[in-house]
Amino acid sequence: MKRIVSLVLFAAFIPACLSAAPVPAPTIQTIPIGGKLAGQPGSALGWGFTLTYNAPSDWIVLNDSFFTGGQVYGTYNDYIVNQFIVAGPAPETALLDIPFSRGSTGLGEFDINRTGLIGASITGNIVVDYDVFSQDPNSPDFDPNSFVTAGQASIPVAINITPEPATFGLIVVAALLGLWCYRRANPCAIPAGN
Amino acid sequence: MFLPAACQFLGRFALAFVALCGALPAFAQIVGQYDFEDGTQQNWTSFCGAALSNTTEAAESGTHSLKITGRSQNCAGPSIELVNVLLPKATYQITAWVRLTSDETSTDTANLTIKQVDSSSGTNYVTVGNYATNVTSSGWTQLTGTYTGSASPTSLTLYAQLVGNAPNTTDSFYFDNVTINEISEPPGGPQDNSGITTTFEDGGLDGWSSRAGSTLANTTADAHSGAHSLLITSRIAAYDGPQISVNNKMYNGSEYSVSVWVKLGPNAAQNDTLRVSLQTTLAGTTSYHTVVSNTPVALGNWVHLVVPNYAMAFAYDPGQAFLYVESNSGTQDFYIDDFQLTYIPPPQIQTGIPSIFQTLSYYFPVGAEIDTTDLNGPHAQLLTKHFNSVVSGNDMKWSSVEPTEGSFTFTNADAEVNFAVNNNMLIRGHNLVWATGQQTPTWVFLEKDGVTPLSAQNPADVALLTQRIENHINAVVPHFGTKVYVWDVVNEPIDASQPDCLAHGPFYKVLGKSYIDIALEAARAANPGAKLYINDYSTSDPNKLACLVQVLEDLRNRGIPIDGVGHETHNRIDYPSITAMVNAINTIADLGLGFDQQITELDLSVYRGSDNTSNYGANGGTVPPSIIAQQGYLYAQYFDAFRQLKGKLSGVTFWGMADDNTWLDSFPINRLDLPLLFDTGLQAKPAYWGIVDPTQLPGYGLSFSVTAKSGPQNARVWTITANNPSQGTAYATQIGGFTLTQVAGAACTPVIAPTTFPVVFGDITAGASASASFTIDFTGCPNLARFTLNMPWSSANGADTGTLVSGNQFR
Repeated sequence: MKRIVSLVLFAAFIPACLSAAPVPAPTIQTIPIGGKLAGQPGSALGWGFTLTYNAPSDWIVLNDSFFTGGQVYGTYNDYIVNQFIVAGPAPETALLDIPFSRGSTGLGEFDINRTGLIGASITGNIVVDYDVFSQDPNSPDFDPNSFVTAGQASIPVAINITPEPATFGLIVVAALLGLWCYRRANPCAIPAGN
Repeated sequence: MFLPAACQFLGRFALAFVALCGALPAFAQIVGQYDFEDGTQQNWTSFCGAALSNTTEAAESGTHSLKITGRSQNCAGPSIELVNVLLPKATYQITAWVRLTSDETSTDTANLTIKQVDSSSGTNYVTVGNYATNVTSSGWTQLTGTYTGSASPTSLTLYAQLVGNAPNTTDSFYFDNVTINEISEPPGGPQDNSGITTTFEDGGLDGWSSRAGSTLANTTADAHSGAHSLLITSRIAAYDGPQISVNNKMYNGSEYSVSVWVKLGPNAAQNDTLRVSLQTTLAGTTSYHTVVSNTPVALGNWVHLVVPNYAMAFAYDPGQAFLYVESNSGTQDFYIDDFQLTYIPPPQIQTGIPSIFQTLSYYFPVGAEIDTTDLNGPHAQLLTKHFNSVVSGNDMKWSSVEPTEGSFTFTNADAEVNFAVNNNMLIRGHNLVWATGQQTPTWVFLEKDGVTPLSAQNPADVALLTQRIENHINAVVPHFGTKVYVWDVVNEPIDASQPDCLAHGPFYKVLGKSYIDIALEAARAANPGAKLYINDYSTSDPNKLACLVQVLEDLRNRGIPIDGVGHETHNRIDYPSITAMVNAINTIADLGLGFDQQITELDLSVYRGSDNTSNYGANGGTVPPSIIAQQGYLYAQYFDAFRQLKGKLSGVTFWGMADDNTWLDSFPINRLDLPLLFDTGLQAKPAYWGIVDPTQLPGYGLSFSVTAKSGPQNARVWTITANNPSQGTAYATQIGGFTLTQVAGAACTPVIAPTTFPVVFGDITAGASASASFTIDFTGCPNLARFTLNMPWSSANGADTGTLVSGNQFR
């Protein structure tokens, strides 16, 4: 009887130890690093990303992403949901570079409204939802019961709204014109001499 | 005793002062008098650059007066510092005499103003008496009015000025015989803001006494709370009952909440009507003021008599202010209990938050409807901080400016316009002709006899109404000149239920649709530079919009001068859709006729479109915070849409600034409504943040994710967690659906429970999370089956929505 109790306790102890073992968190960096993008009203900007997951015996699958910042001047569209991205031990790789390609790969895109405020800076985080498994989800023998945990990774980003080239060009032309007028009205000073 | 001596002392002004003495209260005392007879300026100095000199050219009495010349702006005049003369909270009557110099031929308008700098309320300009009193060079005109000192002034500058357009800005004038009388002392001592609470639990009367012989007794026979209350019996009249002194507890110019519970007494035989009133006595004259209006009290029920914001506006002699409970009629017994008088500190605006108009300056000016109470104190501060355009709510309407034919009054409108001009604000003119005849004097539609209605069949009547419209517009529009950049020339002319799309109001009934032409043409002639609008409500309604288009095209095709359309936009919490609002503006823009467009009267009632009976404020209640949050999200969506209409919208004007002053408190019924951007204490609501920075909305950033999976294949449990990262509650949060779309693996059909939606989370407080479980039977699904979860959710009563779309979900 005592032996049975010990086994039961031991059986209970093992999963407790397992669940207590920390699950490594992934590292996700935007491409470009720092997450700062700039674009004109009406344009679409996007981020690629680098995913690093160095767990010795766990694999990560990305599920989706969302943007936490203000979306007054535009909207965020998630790309993760349409990609099957797995990182982890061999045969997978612990380091993935996923470039931004409009409509297909990357973290997601931010569509700036046509009337977005020029000069505005939109800041926030892109949050990525992910699942961790103790088996490789790309393996034919994968068992979904190997689900270990779900988690989120948060990456700071910023979008600056810049003038359209035409607007920018007009500003440059106006500045040059102003300078020319100023010069016409105030000819270059020539040092006076005796 | 005092007055005869004073009158003797003032022998030189005997006649004038005798008249004054008759009008003054018994204890009135002169604290300042300036006759300039000594040949000096008697400490009066220049204000706004005027030149002052003592002169014998003219005098109201005696031989001397002050002469004011060299003026270049309205405020240029004589001034004197009175901060050491006027007592805080005392009330004064100030009188002065003005006459234009003999070389001035116009009729100007003048006033006395006190520039009041107060440590608590900042700088305010307080007009003493009428804002604009006519003055000429042919005789002396008296300017007079009362002034109650502010609480803690650091400067009080009294000055005289000529207001209005040129030549008021430059005309010279004489100034004489200034008298400052204290007519009411400060009310008995320092202001006591501690309030009063009486629960009668100590067995006493708690300071209550009988007004006229009724019997007051502490009783345990009944109580609203605790064990005791006050029973009032043997009343001799409706006004007889319990009273309590509020001396020093209620101060002129301060705000209070008043609350008391009442119940009819054991001998009462029928339902009754009770109210709370205030009695004040000033200078021997007693007056009575309703504090809580007549409230039905049914037999057997405790009823709450309450007013959340009562503005005390009465000076009184020391010890002469009482709150009391009375009945509308009859003398039935009643109980009172749990009385509370609470001082409400004056609102202070938030200075550290972004300005609305500056935030939106890239898109359009932002305006507010105002009245004269918005020109001073914190309301003025709120106005100038957040808005760069104004429209007068009522003071430019026909009934306000021409209440009798040919007699024009611009006092309030001028004050508002001058405030706007002085603060570099745009001014919308509203309105010249109101199609339905609202706020239009009845004489407009009567023949000269003042009795006979005008008739379309009588050519003389047609000519008379035409002339009246033209006369009105020819007087009003030039009066404001170029200060007004847009005029709502015709207000609310559209009626989609009529075959010709036009409201068949009193103008139409005499003139047909030509009244619109007459008004627009007169306005164009009166101010060729102003944009001329027609302004209407519910323009997002498809039928009304179609009619609006028809009328606009008709006017343009016939060459009638029309420049723009005002969309009033008095919205309800569920009406209209943003799509419909945007469609209305795009429809007018797409006509290609170059019509200017503005949102002119924006507000957002907390009631649904069909609800004309509910009252959140009943029984001391208030609007649920979830509705206030919902309103914030709706305002955010409105302004998202308005921003995207940049170039098509040239202005957005709110019908008010703060919930302490909204027309919706009395329309369609008397009820609590909170439709604006700032609350009754002038603090920013979610509605404000929705416009300026939606990330500050309660519940903003609410997100959902799958956070756990467990259980066997045929009963797999997925945990969905909602996370509220914001500073406020995510109200009424729920999941509206849960579907899985298979993207990999051999096809299978998961069975999801629950099957009924919504799955309700309720309110998720700031920074908190909440979870729900879905049980899914994946029987028949291979291990490598992958799914995309699609889960719509909503919060803030459906105004904040989103969908969790999460891919690569194994079972």
